[in-house]
Amino acid sequence: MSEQIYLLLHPTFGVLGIIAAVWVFVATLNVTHENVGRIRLAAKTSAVMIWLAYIVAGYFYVVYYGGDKAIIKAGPWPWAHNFFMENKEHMFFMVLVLATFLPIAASGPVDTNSGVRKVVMWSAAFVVLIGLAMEGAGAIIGMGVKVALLAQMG
Amino acid sequence: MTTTTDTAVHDDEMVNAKITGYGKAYSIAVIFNALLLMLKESVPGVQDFMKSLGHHWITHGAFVLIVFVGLGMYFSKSGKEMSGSGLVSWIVGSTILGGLMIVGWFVIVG
Repeated sequence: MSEQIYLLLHPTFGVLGIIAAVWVFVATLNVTHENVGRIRLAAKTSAVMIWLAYIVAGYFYVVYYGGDKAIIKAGPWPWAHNFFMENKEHMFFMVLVLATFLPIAASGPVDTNSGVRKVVMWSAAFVVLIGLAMEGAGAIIGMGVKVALLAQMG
Repeated sequence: MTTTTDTAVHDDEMVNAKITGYGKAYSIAVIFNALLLMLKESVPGVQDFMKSLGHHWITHGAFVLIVFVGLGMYFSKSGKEMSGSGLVSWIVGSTILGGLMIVGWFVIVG
């Protein structure tokens, strides 16, 4: 598997995790006794996708990112690493743990307990918001590499 | 007369011990994540220790997950329940605070 495949899989799994969290949020907003099973399935799907995004990104980061980091820092957008990558590295743990918590929260009586509904909806909302921030940061980091390579080409 | 204590909250609002436990564990893990970042970036010995166990980022993630799972199991077994609104306050507050601590660190120090 080439380096580029990891870079495609990471945001793909991330987006699927975000979409599943949106599904959890909307389904919980419109919860009935019939869709509780789907809410739990979506919550588990979100967690699995975010974990896959983490594993793929972690492998890429440890094995390949050192080269990209050197390119970015020598280019015109060093802040793409110094700010966005550094933040992404550490904020990803927040969404990872929250996505892991989401199916635990959804295992409660979502249809009959307003407290559980609030916890599920807020957790899902933050998975979406932090996940989108991670996607945006990833795009900026990718651009950091591109502008650095373009600058090298003159 | 109504009170604001958890015990006086309607049953419909109370969240079971498992969700309460892991929700509180998430909140603590998120703050721990930010504090560990600050510690390893400012104390070379901490980062060296983390590197001795593997890549520092892998070690960092493992520590955060251990805090989440360990505290989640501990709090769950305590059997304490909390109102949904109370637990949401923990989750929202810690997420915002933890995020601001990380971003603030790289704005001010990084």
